[in-house]
Amino acid sequence: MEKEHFINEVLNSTASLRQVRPGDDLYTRIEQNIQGRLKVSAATIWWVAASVAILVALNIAAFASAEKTSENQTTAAFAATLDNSNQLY
Amino acid sequence: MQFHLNDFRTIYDQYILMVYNLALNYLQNAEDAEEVAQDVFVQVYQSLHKFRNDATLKTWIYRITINKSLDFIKHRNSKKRFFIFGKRADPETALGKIANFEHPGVLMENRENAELLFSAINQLPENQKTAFLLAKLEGLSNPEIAVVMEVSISSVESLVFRAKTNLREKLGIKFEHYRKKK
Repeated sequence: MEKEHFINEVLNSTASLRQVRPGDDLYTRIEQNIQGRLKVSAATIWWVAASVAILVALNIAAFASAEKTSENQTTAAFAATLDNSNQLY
Repeated sequence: MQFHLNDFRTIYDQYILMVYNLALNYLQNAEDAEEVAQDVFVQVYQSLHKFRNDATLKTWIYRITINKSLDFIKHRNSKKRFFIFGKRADPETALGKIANFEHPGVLMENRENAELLFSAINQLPENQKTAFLLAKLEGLSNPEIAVVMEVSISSVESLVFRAKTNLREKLGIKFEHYRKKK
């Protein structure tokens, strides 16, 4: 009996619960958060675009350099072969 | 496409009390509830253009608040586990902050009982806790809860019934401790 009374009393303890207001600065914080995100997203787009451009440029430069090296090596190997085969003695 | 901040202010004014109080009942900490309310409204601002009218704005915001609160609890619990593991601390100490929650909206004479009730609510499974909070503290009807939780009305009835049974059981145990102390 006493136990039932206790349980019911606890279960009904929030019956007259009143709504609570958050801090007054909450809206300002939300607004700053939203505007911050908008700014960041624009900056992020530029950073990503710049990074991609640099990456592409580096790739092209590396590819061109590798091709040049390979061409030089082929010429050098050909010249060496000619030197060997055209011996005078 | 984002909408104007003036429209957003109207939505904020209309729903802030609902969002903040639901988050407060879930998280049982005023600072955490403000953090979740902030996340909820940022998401509302960013996703309002995707909002379809197959649910009311209120239901949609309720859903966002519940999801954000549950995510926050999961994140908090994982941090707590790490903290407990790292520092070899007593889990009871880490849980103390939430266990002794004094709801600022509860009448002074009910504070002690409400504290007991909130600590028992915290031990309920996630969906029972949601159904109970929406029914008991938010005052929503079963059909409204069914829409928010996206389950059938009979499931809501069952969840609320099981939540109440579990709470009675847990409070019964608390009563025994309470009597032994006296």
